[in-house]
Amino acid sequence: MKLLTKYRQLNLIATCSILLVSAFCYYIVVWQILIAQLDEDLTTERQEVMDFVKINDNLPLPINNKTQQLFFVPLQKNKTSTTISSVSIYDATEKEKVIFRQIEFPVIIQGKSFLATVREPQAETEDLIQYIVLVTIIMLVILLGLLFFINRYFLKKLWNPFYKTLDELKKFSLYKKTTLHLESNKITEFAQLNESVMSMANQVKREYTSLKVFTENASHEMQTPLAIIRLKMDNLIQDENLNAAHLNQLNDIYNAVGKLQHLMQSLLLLTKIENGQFMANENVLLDKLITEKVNQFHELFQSKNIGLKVQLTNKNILFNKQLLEILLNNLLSNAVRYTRENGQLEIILNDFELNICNSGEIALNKLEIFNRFYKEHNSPGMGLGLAIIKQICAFAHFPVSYRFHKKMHCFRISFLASNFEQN
Amino acid sequence: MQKSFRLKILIIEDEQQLAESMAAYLTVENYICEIAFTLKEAHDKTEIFEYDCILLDIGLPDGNGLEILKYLKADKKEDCVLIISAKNSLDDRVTGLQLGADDYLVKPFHLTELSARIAAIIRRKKYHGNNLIVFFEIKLDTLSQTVFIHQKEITLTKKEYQLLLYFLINKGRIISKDAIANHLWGDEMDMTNNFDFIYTHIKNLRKKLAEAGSNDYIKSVYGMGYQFTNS
Repeated sequence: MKLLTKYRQLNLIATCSILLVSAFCYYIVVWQILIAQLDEDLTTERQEVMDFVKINDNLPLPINNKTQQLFFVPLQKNKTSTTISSVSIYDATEKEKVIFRQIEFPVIIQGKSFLATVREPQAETEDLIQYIVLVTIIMLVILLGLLFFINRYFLKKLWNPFYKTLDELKKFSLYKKTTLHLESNKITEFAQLNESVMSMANQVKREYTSLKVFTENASHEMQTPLAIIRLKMDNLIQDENLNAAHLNQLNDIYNAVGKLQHLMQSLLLLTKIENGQFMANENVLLDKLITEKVNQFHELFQSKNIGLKVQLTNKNILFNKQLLEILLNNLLSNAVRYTRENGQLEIILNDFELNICNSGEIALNKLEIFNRFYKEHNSPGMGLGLAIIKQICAFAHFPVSYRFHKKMHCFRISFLASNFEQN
Repeated sequence: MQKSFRLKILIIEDEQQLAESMAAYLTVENYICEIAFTLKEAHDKTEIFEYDCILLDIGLPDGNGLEILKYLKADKKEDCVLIISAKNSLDDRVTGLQLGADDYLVKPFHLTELSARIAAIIRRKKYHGNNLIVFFEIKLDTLSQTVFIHQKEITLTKKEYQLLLYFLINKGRIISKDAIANHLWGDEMDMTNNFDFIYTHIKNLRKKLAEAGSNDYIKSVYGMGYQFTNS
């Protein structure tokens, strides 16, 4: 949700509640005032009646018109108090109930008690209140409308530098050679924001560059001794004086060096992916790549007599070809290594996911297998293959999962969460 | 490949041990090897002499090895160049090949692989007419990718052909199984030293050669690898 939208929502809620509460308070206050006014009128009427009775010792003539009613009822019991109340009375001519304010008080004439009642309609008061409510609503609508446009204009203007900064940040990439440059701003907060973001981004860039240099140097430094070992051995095995025992030992050294080299390359690859040193900007025909890889592994499948089932649909993804090749290499290498003789391998690619399943006996530890250096018992690998797969998938935003189903180890890579497809 | 003259190779590599190992191996292969440890040395040597092939390391103490490529290009020299780099970086590879290098090999590599790459480059670039590799009754034509035994053509699969070519170029040398696997399937397949599948191919190649009346030159060397030899 946009900041402006959120602000507008909160603003609307706040304004409406304030106006509603104040309208209600206003209503109560005005009502009280009007009723008090009415009561004062009624009290004056009572006084007039009392005065009349005092002078004439007789009842005044009853009154019955729209604005006022006055009548007397003989009173059985003694009543001394005066009461003011609202009553609702059916009006035959208007055919509806009308609310009156009335004052009741006792009068004594020639020793006889009467209850005098003076009524005045409250309708006028009600009308007034209706007007007040109407005016309030109109005010509310006008106010909200005005606020909406004012906010829209000013907020947009105020937040403009922020959005500019955001745009620049979106364009910023660690892999590009340009540094981040943000314009200075008159508003202190934005100026500070730009300054902090710039210093942070450029700091990150420096660190990234030095890390990259380190990775490259480390790679170079480790490759050289390994290369020397290998080349020396290539020369050494040519020696005709070597016997079988020597050659067997040399073979073990070869294997160990091979493992070491593979380990080093895997670790460097993981670092490289973590550092984001790969770009995801190549269009790769995944089905074609899988076919190529399957052909490349053909002899290996054959040597273990692994039954192959490949189902591919055309699938184009925007990612990195080198990484996809590594991903497939690792998946297929694993499949070859861990499938028993005469086992089964299924590769199924559709628009949404890639499924690679191979026969197996028992389920692997779902939670651990993707961790670095995790090994199942008797595993000949180093425990980095799946870690690399996970890292590549994380980089691509492809969720990867494992399940054991119908005596098959299944690895599923889903393409749905990818951001790259839509771009 | 009995040639009356020896091909000259310049090894530009700052790591002495590596340079000397390569030189030792290639000298046995009947190449004349010279070594340059710095960019300046390499510069001086290429200016005066002409080489059939230059092995070029990119990371040199006094500069980027790619400079040599630029210089050779500017001077219109046609020496073959094989880049040898510790960096398996796509950028370097692309830049190197764009600057006119003929191939790119990533460290660490096997000497048998180096030898095969050098032979391929030289064959391709320097001796357009000479596509034949002959070893007693075996004749291999690299242009048409055909193999003849006693002048009779035999049919090999692509992998068997590559394997035979690899053996012929590295004849007499012991080739480790690791080197064979890397050569035929690339080094990205992680087989953790399980090279049983190579055996099938060796077996098939042997069978085809024998059926055509060839001697068995492929010798297995104590679990280490194979040797193509007539001794």
